[in-house]
Amino acid sequence: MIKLNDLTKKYINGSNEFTALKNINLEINDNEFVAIVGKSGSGKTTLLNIIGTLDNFTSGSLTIDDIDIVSLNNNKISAFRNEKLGFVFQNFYLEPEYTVYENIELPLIIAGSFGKQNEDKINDIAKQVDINSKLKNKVKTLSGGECQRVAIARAIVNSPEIILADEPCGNLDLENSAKVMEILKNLHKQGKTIILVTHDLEDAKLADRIITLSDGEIVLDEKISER
Amino acid sequence: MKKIFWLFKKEIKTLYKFIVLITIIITLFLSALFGVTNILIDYSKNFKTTLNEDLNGLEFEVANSNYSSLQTYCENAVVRAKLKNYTHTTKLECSNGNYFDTDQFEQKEEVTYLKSYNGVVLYSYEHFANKLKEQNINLEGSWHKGKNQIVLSDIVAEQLQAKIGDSIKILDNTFLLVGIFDFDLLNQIDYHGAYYYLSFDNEKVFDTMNVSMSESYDTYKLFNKLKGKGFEVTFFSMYAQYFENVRLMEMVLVIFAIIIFIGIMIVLYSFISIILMNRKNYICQLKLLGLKEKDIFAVYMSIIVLLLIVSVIFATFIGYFFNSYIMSLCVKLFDMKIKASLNFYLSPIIFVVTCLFAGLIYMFINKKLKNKMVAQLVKEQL
Repeated sequence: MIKLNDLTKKYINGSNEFTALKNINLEINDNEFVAIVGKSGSGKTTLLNIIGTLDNFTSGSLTIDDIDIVSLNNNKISAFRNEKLGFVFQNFYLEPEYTVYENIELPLIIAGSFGKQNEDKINDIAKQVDINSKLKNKVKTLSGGECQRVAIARAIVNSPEIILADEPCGNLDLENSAKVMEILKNLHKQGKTIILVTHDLEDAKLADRIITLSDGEIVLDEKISER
Repeated sequence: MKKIFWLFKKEIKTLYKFIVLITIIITLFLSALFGVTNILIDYSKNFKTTLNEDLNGLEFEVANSNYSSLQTYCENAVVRAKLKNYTHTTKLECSNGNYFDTDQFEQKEEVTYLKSYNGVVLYSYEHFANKLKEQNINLEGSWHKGKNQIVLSDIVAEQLQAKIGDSIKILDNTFLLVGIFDFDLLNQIDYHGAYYYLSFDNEKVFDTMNVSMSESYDTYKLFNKLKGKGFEVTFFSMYAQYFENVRLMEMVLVIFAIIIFIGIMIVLYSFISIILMNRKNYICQLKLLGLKEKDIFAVYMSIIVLLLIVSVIFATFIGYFFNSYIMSLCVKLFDMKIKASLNFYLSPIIFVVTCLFAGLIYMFINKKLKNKMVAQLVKEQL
């Protein structure tokens, strides 16, 4: 379970202070598919980065599976990220000089896993995201949709419990967007917690729950079944 | 360790063209550094042996036997320095009761002459006397004509408060003082050789070493050595320019070495900056996927270390050949007895120092680029 308690994030630049998130109280259960929506600058990405332990916060608390994130040092946070979290970004964040296989293998290498066990895992995941035919291709030769599927494969290869997706369909056409959303839905069915940041309400509707942010505050938190 | 090696291999594969280019540049810089440092080392190494021989030939006698160093002699006792098997000191005693310590006493067949810092005492030195006559030396009285007669320089005579007609005792011999001459003029016709004046309390001069040497580094080194031991050492002006040139050469070499080292640091700084800037996206991915900061540091430092190992190996030999060339030029042009050697111990020293600096540069640039904040990187990349 992800629990945010009175969480506030302020950016201070000299004498200027900007509050990106104001007293956020939020609980996300295991195996929940949550979509965070809102206008640009509403604090969606900041919230996702904080949940993903990529950014720190000014006050409040964040616990993931009863672990207080503030209590972890940098090394433990890195290990935590590797083990528990998977990231998918609009810009894919892949290494263009590596092959698809090498890109997907990267989290396993960082976790200290090598050899045959990786091969089996990668082949299996590649099939899931329909990229198994391009494992030996360099990422720089792939299309946007293929890149995003590689990014998803990489995000899930370590079997993380939580997938954080920031506008995963932002750079994709309709067909590829649909494929990516389908993959995310399947992952949710497999028991993963999915947190999706999007400005597309159609994508958000695939989630169990939609959280609407405005000026750093949660203005609406609704379950799809309630609507 | 295995994951660092895996990432290291991948980065080498990705960046190999750039790494090769930087390796070549660093090798050239390091070759120059090795060359210059080798010249400096060989320079002192070659003359250390001869210097030791020179110093072995010196006997230092002190009135106070409770001493531990030459510096102590200077502070506590009268220093007498003389060249072994060459000269020794003696004392001049005037019939008026005054005495004067001479500095050098030398017997050459029939000719004996005594020299001191403050003046010259002559005894049965016909040839020298003739020379003095030729030079039109200002003389009070007359030149000595027999083995029982002596002439003194005006400075010595003044110290003894001696007058013509007084008797002067040297060792077991007694002489009649027949003349007093002008020392300054005599000094002008004095012969070749370097003089080292060992002084005490800035004023009292107790002894003189008369070291006749050719114009070489040996003289220069001995001069520096004695100076370093706390003596006030001076030399004739004929050597001044020469010593100044040698000192200048040493200084230029040291400045050269420092400039080259700074050059290496600039190249390393550029290399690390370019890598960290260009690989920002990749570093961000690694952090995002949970790689620790110290592991990223290890990956890039391994690349730098590999680069430096290759550069140092090549540079060691190129530097040696560079040094050999310069040394052979010196032998030809200046008739110096020096030769180049392969100073292997230099390589690990320069390697370790360069690695340490590279590590510091990496940490500085990493901090400057704010590479530690993953969210910052994510924002920038997006």
